[in-house]
Amino acid sequence: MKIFLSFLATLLLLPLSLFSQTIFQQPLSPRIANYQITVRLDTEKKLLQGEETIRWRNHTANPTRELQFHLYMNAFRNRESSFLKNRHLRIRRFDVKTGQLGGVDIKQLVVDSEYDLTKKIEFIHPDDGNEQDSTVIRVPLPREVKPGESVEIQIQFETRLPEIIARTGYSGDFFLIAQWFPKLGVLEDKGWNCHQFHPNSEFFSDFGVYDVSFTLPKEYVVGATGILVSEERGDSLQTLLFHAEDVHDFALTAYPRFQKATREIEGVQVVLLYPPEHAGMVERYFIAITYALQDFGSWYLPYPYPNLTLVDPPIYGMNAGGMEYPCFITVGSVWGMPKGFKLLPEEVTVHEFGHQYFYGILANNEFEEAWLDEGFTSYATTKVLDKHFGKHTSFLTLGGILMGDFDHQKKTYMEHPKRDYIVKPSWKFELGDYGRMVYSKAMLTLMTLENYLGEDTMGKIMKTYFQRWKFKHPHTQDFIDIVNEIAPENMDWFLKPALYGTEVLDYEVYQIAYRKTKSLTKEQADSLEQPYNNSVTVLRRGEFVFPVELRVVFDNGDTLTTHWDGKERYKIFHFQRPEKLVSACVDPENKIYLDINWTNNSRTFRQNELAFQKHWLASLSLFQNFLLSLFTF
Amino acid sequence: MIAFSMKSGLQRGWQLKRILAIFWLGNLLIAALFLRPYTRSFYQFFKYRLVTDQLARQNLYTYFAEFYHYMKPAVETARLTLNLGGLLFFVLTILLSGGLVYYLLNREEVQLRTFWSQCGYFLGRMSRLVLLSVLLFLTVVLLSGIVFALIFWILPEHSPENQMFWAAVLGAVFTLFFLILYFIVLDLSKVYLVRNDSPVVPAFRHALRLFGKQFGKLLVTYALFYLLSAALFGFSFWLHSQVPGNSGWQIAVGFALTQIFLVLQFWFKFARIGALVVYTQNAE
Repeated sequence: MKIFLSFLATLLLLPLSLFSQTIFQQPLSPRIANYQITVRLDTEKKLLQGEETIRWRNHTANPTRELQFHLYMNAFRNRESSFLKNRHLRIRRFDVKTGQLGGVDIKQLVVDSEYDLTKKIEFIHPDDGNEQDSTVIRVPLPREVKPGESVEIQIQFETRLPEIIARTGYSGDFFLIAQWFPKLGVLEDKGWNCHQFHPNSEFFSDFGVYDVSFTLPKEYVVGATGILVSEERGDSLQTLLFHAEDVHDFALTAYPRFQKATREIEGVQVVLLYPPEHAGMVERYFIAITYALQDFGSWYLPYPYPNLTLVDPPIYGMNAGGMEYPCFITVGSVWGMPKGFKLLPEEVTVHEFGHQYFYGILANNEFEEAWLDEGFTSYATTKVLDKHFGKHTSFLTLGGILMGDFDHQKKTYMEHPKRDYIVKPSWKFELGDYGRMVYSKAMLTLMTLENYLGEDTMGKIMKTYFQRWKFKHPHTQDFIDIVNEIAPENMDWFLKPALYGTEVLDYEVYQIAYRKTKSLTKEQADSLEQPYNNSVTVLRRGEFVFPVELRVVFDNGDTLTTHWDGKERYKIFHFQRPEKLVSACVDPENKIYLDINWTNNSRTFRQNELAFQKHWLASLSLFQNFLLSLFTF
Repeated sequence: MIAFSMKSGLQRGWQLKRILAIFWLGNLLIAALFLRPYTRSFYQFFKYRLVTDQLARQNLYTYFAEFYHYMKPAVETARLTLNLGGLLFFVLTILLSGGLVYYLLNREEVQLRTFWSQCGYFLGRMSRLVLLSVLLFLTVVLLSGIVFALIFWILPEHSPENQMFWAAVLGAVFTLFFLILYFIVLDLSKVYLVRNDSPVVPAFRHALRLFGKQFGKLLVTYALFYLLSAALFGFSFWLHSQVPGNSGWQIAVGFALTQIFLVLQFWFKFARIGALVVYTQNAE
């Protein structure tokens, strides 16, 4: 009861505007898990002290007698947690040795304002049975929550922020506060879906409304998921109230040196928070986000939220860059970044914004099917960047080297294409295969699918996917079903091996030849109308079967295009013609992004010697200069 | 004195056209020879492929990525060969040093027979000087490391990156400063070694003595020479960027520009040592 009264008092202290604020007249989502959080940041101790009230509704067909929560921050509590223990897996920008560990403690947990269940909290380890991991808890309920019924949970918690790790924590006076509060898992018909926090895995939760009251020293500039409803400034502290609807997470940032740039783009208020030394990057961010808002809006659906916050961390907080939360993304750049280098800030801005759609709106389970957010986002990012910056120049144009956004994905995939497959729980990937499969191969798969079906059909598929699954939790099969519904043919033959298989796709023009018909004399052959028997041997080098287009060119300039279902190991094409064959090329437009070797797609009798001369002389000049640098004696 | 030594060094360096040609040809031949396994792999991978049409116009990363991936064993072998070429050129510069310094000291017409005999005569001592220079170089590395550590120790933690950038630039300037000192001492040692026909250690001692006496002038002279080289590098880079290299003649022009640049850089190196000769003569 004491707890209840304290929460009641806290809530009464909140301004009325907090509760009267409404963004959407009609809810966009089912609003299953709704959070009211009051939190205070101690910037010296790097400590968050908070209280949250969660109103949760059982939307499944089955009753439940327990609740499950994520305590993500406990991944950094000890070195034996599943997250830190598996640090040999590829963890982005993280150093356990120097990183200060963090954690979250639940001080009190009360259900329905009267049942103190703090002592009944039990740590569970559904994924790996690691007893040292404390990222998931189970709380038995005093009563059964039937389908359609709600329950209210009040939690007092304390979160120790780590030095930035997994894009959360602090560095100096910069704070990126994410995965910071006890958060409900997702109840499905088959039970609770609440996975432990692993190095590769991200998150999964239900949609809801968030009201967050955030107190911290007043010199800090703050950004957050949601709109700022009100602010109170005292002598040394400030309290900011944020409100967000139809989102499934809430992140905050605070930094005293942040500059703020605000623009209205496509009806969305875009706020960019950046350190003063990144002022030169501001236009680049806004250009990138404008392209993204326009393209995603026209391809999928207009960005539904009124606001979007972009956080560009200072250099020492850069480990927090490149992450997505609802209406809130962290990007990144460095002072003096050349314009030809588009990984920072353009690529990362478009990519993280893309997650507002693939994760934000289509809230797939990132633990179990990470490709649905990372793969789709990578695919859409490539499309946006290629459209505005050029296919071969959308990533890098420096020192005479041209690199498209898809290039680095293709290179990553090409290195070990057979080692794993795409649709797999994220924590089960080894080595660098998570990125290789979930980002790279998935992106190449979707681009190949689009090029095969055509942009219009793919556009219809994507729009339908969004219309049907927005503000829900789609699965891989849901996407496949829509593809098969809209495409002119059932695409399982492509999607199943691409998503669930390790087969490699590689077609090669193995040989080209021409000869005159043997049994004739030269005079007889010359008098024939079609004396040349031209042949092209196309080889399927991989196990992945894919129909290919073959384009042949003859010495009079004639071009002929034919198709092959690609099923046999090889096929010899014969062309009886008056002209000699000059060249042949499978997939001449490079539409098959999954093809791991584009160079072997063609053969010609007229190779371009200039390419060799150019490369030879460039290499020679470079090597001569290298030798000159050795003339140190 | 500074201007005079530089002028004299440049003049004398230019007079040694035959030796200049040997250095340049050595550079070109070693590069061409040791590059062959790499270019052969490149040719093998792309021969009779249509992508050469695209590569003739643009350096598309995607095809280079495929080349380096699918020809990895050949490229690894080629890299080893390139390293061997580098080592050979380094040895060649040690070999040629004796003859070069001899003709910078003696203002006579270059006779190749004499040049080679001087190269051979001083080879042993020049090689020993290389060993000594390694110690000297390690000192430079150590000093630079200390300076960098000091700068970043003084810089407040969590400084913005523009401040960190300029701090790094400051560290780099100190490193360059130490490197210039290193080259002055090393080149002076070579001059004394040939001039006095002395063993390595006395020559090194002489070099340090003159270095101590004429520190400022020597430093300015070398710094000006390096600035000249840097300016030439910048100009050459800009000139190259003006030649896109999309046709045979453009490629040829680009290559010719590189060769001119290399010859000029060799000349400046000769001129630097030539300027030191003036200082050593003046010190008597």
